Amino acid sequence: MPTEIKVGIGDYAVGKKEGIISTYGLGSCVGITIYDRLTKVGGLLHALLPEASYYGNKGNPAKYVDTGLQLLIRDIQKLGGNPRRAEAKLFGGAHMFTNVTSEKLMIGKRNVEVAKRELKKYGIRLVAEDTGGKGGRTIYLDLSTGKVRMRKVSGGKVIEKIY
Amino acid sequence: MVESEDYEEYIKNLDEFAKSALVETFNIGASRAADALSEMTGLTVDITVPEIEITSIKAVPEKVGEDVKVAVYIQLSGGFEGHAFFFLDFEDALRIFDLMMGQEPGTTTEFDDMVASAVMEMGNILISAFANALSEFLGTEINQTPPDIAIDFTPAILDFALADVGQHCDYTILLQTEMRIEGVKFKEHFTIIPHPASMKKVVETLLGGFV
Repeated sequence: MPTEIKVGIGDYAVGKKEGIISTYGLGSCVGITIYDRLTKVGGLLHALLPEASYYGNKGNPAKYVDTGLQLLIRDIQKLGGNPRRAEAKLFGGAHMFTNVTSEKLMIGKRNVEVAKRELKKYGIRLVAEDTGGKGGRTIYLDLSTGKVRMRKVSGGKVIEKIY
Repeated sequence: MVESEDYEEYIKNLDEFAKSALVETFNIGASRAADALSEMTGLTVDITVPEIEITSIKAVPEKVGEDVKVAVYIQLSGGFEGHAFFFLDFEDALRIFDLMMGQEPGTTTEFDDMVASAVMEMGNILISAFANALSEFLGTEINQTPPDIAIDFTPAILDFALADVGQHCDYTILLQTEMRIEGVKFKEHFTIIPHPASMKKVVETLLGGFV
């Protein structure tokens, strides 16, 4: 069994060549994976909120999409990965409950928008995404291949997909 | 910009006295919720809140587990802002449905629309009774959205509520509850994720007499 690093909410991890980096139960949160095929360096960010500056840069920087991505890219570079060569995959940003209608809590959509904008800013290609909708997602990044296994609940059953 | 009062230190440093005062308040709410459910079903219902836990948002998925659960959600606003969830395992939802219908537990084997609407109504009654108790206690009006139901990974269900709290601080409270219906124990979680300002208000109201 390859080692598995579990990433919490507002957290990230990087690795090289082997092992799995996973994060459980993305709802409105987004999970961003970045993987450089040449060096096999990759990482995963689980961000809770879109932009740090909007919330006064309070607390843990990895809980925001923009500052979290900055940390993830920095650590990928430290391991020898090149973000310009890397590919990104984006998951999450769901809207779990229809009775939540306040703009302030429509966080999923904004998380996805900001993630795409920030990736573009760094010139990182977005090659796959499974975002929006009503359901949560769990993702596993395989550091040997860059493939992401996603589990999602559909009609009360767990389904799996590989990206 | 979101207003920037520092709730982080406040929540992290809640002392045992304040915590037990919160547990006490939530227990009053829980027992009223149990009475309401008991009235609706004619069954003996007990709900207690043994403890609350202050935890980092980061660690929530690890604490609540990845299991797929059924959840009823109601948003609270006005005098107390927060997110109320009623969680049930699939099997427990079916067993409770049987008890409510006066059937032998195990009779219902499929989670269909009937079960879903019964669970939603149950969550609605529990959360409303809880909110009413809190409203009387705080002497303030609490508004509620209609209930909604989701079947999903537990952390995914809690996510946006954590995002709401996460705007203000990196810590939140987790409430543990125990429920017994006709003496049968259920692994449910009746969880309130309060806005930090509202939690502070509850503590201040509680301790108001002593300061």
